[in-house]
Amino acid sequence: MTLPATYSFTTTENPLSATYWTETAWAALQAATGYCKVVTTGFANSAMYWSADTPDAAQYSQLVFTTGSNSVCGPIVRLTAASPTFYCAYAETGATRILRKYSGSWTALASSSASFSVPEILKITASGSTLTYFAEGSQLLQATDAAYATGQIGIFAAAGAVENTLDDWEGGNLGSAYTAAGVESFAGVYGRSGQFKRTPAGIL
Amino acid sequence: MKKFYVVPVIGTGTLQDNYRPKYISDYPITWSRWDYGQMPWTIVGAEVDAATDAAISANPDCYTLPDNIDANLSPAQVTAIQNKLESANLPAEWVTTGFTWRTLLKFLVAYFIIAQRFQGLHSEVLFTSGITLDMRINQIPVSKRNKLTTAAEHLGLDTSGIQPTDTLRVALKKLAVQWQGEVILGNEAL
Repeated sequence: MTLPATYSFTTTENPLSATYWTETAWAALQAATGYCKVVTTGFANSAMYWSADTPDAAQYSQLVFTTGSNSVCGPIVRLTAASPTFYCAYAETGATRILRKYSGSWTALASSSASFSVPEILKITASGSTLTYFAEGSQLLQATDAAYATGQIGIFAAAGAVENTLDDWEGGNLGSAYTAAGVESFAGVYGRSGQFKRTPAGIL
Repeated sequence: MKKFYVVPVIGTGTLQDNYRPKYISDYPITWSRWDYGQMPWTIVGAEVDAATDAAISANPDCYTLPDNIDANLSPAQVTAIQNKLESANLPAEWVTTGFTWRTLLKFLVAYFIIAQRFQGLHSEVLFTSGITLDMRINQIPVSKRNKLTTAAEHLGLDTSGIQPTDTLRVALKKLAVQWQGEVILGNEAL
C-alpha cells in the first residue's frame, strides 16, 4: 500500500480487516456495510491504526463523522499502540477539541465551542510540534505539543451509551498532494445518487 | 481580542473530565494551551470579549498578561511573573525588563516542549517528588538524569554543555535557548 490511504468500510468486518488495520491495547473497531462503528459490547474505548503503511512524522488522519452528537470519536495521529497514546480531534455538541491521550489520562490542548452537524469531515494533522484540527476542510484549532514525535494514524471511538458511526477514513503524510475534503455526493439521472472520493490519483 | 493567562489545571484526566485550564474552559470560547508535563499550571491563549476577560481575570489564582504583549515588562511585572512561574517549577530568574511579553512566551515554550517530550517518551513527569529546580544534575537520580538527556536529544537539542554541577534550572535554560520550533498559543503563531 502507499499513502495516502483511504478506507470506506464497504463490508461487514469484526474487527476491521487485519490486512490494513491493527488493534491497540483498547478494544477493536468493527464495520457494518457502509460505516465503521465502535464495538458496542461493554461500550469500551476502541482504537485501531492503519498498519498497511508507516507514515512519516508529519502526518494526517481524517474521517467523516456520520451520526451522533455526544458520542466521542475521531481521527488520531502519532499513535503508539501500547496504552495507547495519541493525539486526536473530536467533536461533540458544544465543543470541538484537540486532545492528547497520555497513558491513563486525557489532556485538552485546544478547544472551540464551534458547533457541528453530521455528517462532518474531521481531520487532524501533526507537523513538528504543531497539531491542527480541520472541520470540513477549514482550520478550526491549532496547538503546540511535543509529547509524541512519531506514531501511527487511525481512528478512536470512546465508550458511550450510543453507537458512534464513522465513514471514509483517509490518512497519509503531509506534503503529499491531497485535498482536504475527500467525499462528495452527487445526484444522477433516473434518481440514482451516491458519493465519490477525491484523492491525489483522481476521482474514484 | 486575544488574551493570555497563567491558570491552574483542573480535571481528573478522564475523557469526560479531561485536564484543561481552570475558568477558561467554562466559557464558549476558543483557546489553546501549553501543557507542562501535567504540572498543575498552564499558559493559555484565548479569544475573549471584555466581559469574559474581566470574569476570568478576577480570579485570584489567575495571572493575566497585559493586552499589549509587545510591551516590555515592568519591574513589578517581572517580580509577579517570576513568582508565578517559579511556583510551577518553571525557571524564571532570567526574566528581566528587557523582555517583551511576546519574547517571554516564545522563550518559555521551550521549557514546556522539553517537559512534554520527557513525559511522552518516558511515561512519567520530570518533576516528580523531590526533584527541584535548584538540585544539581549530579544530585538527580541517574535514571531521571538519563531520561532528561534522552528527551532533550530526541528534540535535537545539544546536551554536551550541561555540567554535572549545573542546577536543573541552569541545565534547562541551556537546553531551552536552543529551541527553534514554531510556537502556537491561542490558536495562532506567536
